[in-house]
Amino acid sequence: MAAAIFSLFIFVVALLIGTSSASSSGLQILQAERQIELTSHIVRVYLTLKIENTDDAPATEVLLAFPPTQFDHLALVKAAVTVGKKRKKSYSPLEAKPTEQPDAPNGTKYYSVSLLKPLAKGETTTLEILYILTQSLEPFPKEIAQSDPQLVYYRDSAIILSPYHIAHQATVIKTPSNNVESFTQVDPAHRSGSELRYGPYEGHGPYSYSPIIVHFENNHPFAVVEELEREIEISHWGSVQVTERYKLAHAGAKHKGAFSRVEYQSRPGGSGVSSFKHLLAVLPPRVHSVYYRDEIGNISTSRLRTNSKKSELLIEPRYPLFGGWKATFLIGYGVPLKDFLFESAPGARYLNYTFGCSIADTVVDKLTIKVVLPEGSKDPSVEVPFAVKQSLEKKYSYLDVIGRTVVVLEKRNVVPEHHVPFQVHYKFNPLFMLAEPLMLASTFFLLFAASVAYLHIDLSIQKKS
Amino acid sequence: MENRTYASKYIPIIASVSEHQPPTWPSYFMDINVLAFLVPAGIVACFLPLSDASSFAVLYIVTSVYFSGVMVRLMLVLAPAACIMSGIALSEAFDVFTRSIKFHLVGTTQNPQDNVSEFIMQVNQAGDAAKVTQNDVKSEKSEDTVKERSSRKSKKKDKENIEKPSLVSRVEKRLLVLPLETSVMAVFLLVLLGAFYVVHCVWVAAEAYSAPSIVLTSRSHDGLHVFDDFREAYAWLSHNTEVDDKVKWSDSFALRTPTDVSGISFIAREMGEDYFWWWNKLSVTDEFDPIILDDIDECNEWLASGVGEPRTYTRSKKRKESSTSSSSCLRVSKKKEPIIPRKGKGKRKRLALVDEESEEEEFEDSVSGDQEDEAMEDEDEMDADDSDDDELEDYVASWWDYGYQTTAMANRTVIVDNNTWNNTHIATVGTAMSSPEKAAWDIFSSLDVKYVLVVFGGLVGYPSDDINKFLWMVRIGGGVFPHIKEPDYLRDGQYRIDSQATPTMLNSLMYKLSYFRFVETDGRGYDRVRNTEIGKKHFKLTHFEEVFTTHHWMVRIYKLKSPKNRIRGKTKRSKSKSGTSTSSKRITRKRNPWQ
Repeated sequence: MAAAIFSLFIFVVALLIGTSSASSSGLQILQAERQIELTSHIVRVYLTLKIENTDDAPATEVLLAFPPTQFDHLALVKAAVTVGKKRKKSYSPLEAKPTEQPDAPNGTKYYSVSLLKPLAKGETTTLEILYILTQSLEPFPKEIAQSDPQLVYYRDSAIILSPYHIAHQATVIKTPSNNVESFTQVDPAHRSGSELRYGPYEGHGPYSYSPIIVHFENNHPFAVVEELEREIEISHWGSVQVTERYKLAHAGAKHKGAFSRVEYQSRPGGSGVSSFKHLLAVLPPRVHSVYYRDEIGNISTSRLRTNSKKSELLIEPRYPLFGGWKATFLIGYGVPLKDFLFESAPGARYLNYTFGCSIADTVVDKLTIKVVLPEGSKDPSVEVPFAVKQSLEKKYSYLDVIGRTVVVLEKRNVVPEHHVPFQVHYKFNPLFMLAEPLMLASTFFLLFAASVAYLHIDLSIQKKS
Repeated sequence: MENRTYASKYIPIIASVSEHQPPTWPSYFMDINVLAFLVPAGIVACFLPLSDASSFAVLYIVTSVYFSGVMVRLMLVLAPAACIMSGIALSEAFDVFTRSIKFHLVGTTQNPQDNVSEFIMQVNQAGDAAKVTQNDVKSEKSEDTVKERSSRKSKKKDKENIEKPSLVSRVEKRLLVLPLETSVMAVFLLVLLGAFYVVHCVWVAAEAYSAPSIVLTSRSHDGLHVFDDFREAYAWLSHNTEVDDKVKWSDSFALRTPTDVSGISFIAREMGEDYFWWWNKLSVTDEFDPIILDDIDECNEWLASGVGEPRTYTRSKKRKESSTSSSSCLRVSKKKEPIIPRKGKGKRKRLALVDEESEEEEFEDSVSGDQEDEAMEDEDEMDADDSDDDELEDYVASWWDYGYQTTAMANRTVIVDNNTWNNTHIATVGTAMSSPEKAAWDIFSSLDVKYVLVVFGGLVGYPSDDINKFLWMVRIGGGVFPHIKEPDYLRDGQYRIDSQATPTMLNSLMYKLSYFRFVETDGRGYDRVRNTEIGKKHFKLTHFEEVFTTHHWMVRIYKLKSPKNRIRGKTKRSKSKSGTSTSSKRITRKRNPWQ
């Protein structure tokens, strides 16, 4: 490793001395390494860029370019800058947000990464970027029979798309197994085992693009939650009730022809390899009253394991899911209020809960989180570390008079990396907790009082003898 | 009245429901338990003395016992009557015993003579409370005997009638003073009996009548095992068949209690009784429009005639006839009961089905030239219809027992369900199940059926499966379509599915759908319900395709293959060539590409 870095360093120095081609924006990438992980149905790309400013003006932001097809499937872009050297190396996160550029060729889309401090002329910095793509593996053949393995296409470019000149670059693609049907040859490219290596390529100008297709076997269960609605209901009497409604689908190659149970049962490894029948939901610790059901009743196949750090709910849909099959179900549980609700200032509270989907290793196409605040709460505001669509609703539950405020958060394309805490702040007067009991008590009091009064009133005209 | 079991013996659709069988003694004991012994006592009590009210109670119990003897489900009629009679019996018994106890206890303090007189006084006071004198009672009573029927004149009188005899009986029972120990013991025993009865009732309610019959459980040495196959299959049907996806997401979790759904329970099997098969044959749910009986008959007639008519009988004619002859009621039923083909598509196939010798006749029919042309047109019409078919629903066919379940849980339209009144309709499905694959495919596709659902218990030993009900399908089918003959399915009068079974049985659709690839599970195809190895082990399906089988193989769903490789001209020619002998026809049929 150290040797490699050393040789790189030599190389960079050589580059600095040799070609210093000034690109239009003044930045150039000295060294780019890209690693594409195709092991699951979520594509994760790790990009390391070493950037130098060749312009006189200090640079404050770095642009990342994406082809329009990829941009639509981007679930997340994260950037960090390395601080310190070697042993003391640490990463500090940077802000990455989508931007528009006036002179974008072929509909190229951009993310801009703001640097911590402007990059002066001649300075270099190293950015670590992670971006996640969903629905980027296209099953081919589109329909497979029960005993067939699932083959998929992945399309990308051998050369990193960038608005800057890239002096030196290499791409490594990791496939889940050694079964790679074919891949586009862009010399130098070679495959060893489950690793495809494109590059190194030297000195490619801005917006160089060289499309490649990798056709390989991926039997990872393509579990996609088409719609997920999470309802988090806060009760100040001590509990947070969570209800998650799932609409699950297997987004891999469609199942074709017959489904034979005998084959599925007798050859678990050979038949229906891309299907899945278990899912793991990770729930908060100290959950209680967990239920798992669908529209026709309780689903009897689930297991709950709890410990002090987390609870794991192993659920099994009613039937194994093959490509194109769907299932809907509902998971509900209660968690203690004190774990998630905190007081920020007198009268102001905030809920701290995790965003995203409880089920591990899934993509959620459309996630709706509804935080039902207790009746009488005011001024709700949300803190989420990424962009979501927000709206407010009213909900009426038992004995509600003015209705409960519901904070609705919507996000598309949610991946496990979105499983981070978010906060909902609101103001709440504890007196409202007494509203419902008082209402009930007064109703009964009035009822009894009325009956007492009725029994004591003598409405007869003549006096009783 | 002489032949009260006629329906449950000779009408297969009624006989096939085990609830319609006469009850056995164990079932009486299971359902009414100690009441069975208390009822006679209650009857005796009603005769001491007999009044209008008590004679009504006696008549009530007698008639309800009679009717409950006809079929098991009429136990429901017996239950309230038995409760009333047992209540009377218990009340009388407690009356006697507590009075004896009271008599003895009071008697210890005073001397017995005074005691008796005091007791009589007490009784008289009670009588006074009713403000009826002894004389009145006597006169009234004589009146009662004279005109018993007119005694319901007024409520007040009725009330008096109840009070008066009780007074008389009390006066009479003054002499029935039992020893103290005996009475205490008897009261204790009666209370114990009642307590035991409560325990029994709770047990029966929990085990026999509340067990969700679609979630089956079996207790083995390694704990409780759950068989949730029915819901597995229904959930699969509702989510993975592309038809008619009406349920929106928001609705789909609305609480939907499947109250209609009931059926077998394992407890019944444990008792050696299988009489809770299918309970709801005759019940009418309010979601169905009431159908006037005449309309049904009319509908049946129309179906029968339309089916038997020659091919030139066109659809439009049929439709006209049906719409003129039937009321709007029938049209409603038509919508629900898709036996009436809505396109030209179904017509020919149905003809084939009802013609005497099934499919062979169909080919013979179309020999003559102009008819062939017409058939050709028909086919073209059918192709044209295909685009329209997309908006039609595809139906799920199963035996009617699973109709409600499929409707409620899988949200799919079924061909026949638990409320299908049309015998022909059920018989059509029975015929399809009893027919060979090809004929069955014709019937089903004429009904727009896309999926066929069978229940199979052979792998886990679930006795109420379709193979065990199959003979009823044959009988019901054969009742309407005479080419299905019950003896063809029986070897020497015995129903069997092993190697001794008849070829008709082994080639029937039900056999094939139930045992398709079953032999691959254990290598020899051992059926755990019939306790035998199956007769035909290795076979392929040509017109059906297995699309889903549940974890324990209890529900198997098949899809009708589409006839896409059909070469039209060739089939026609072979048909026209095949003239007279059935053997040559068979050969040509073998060459049929979609055979």
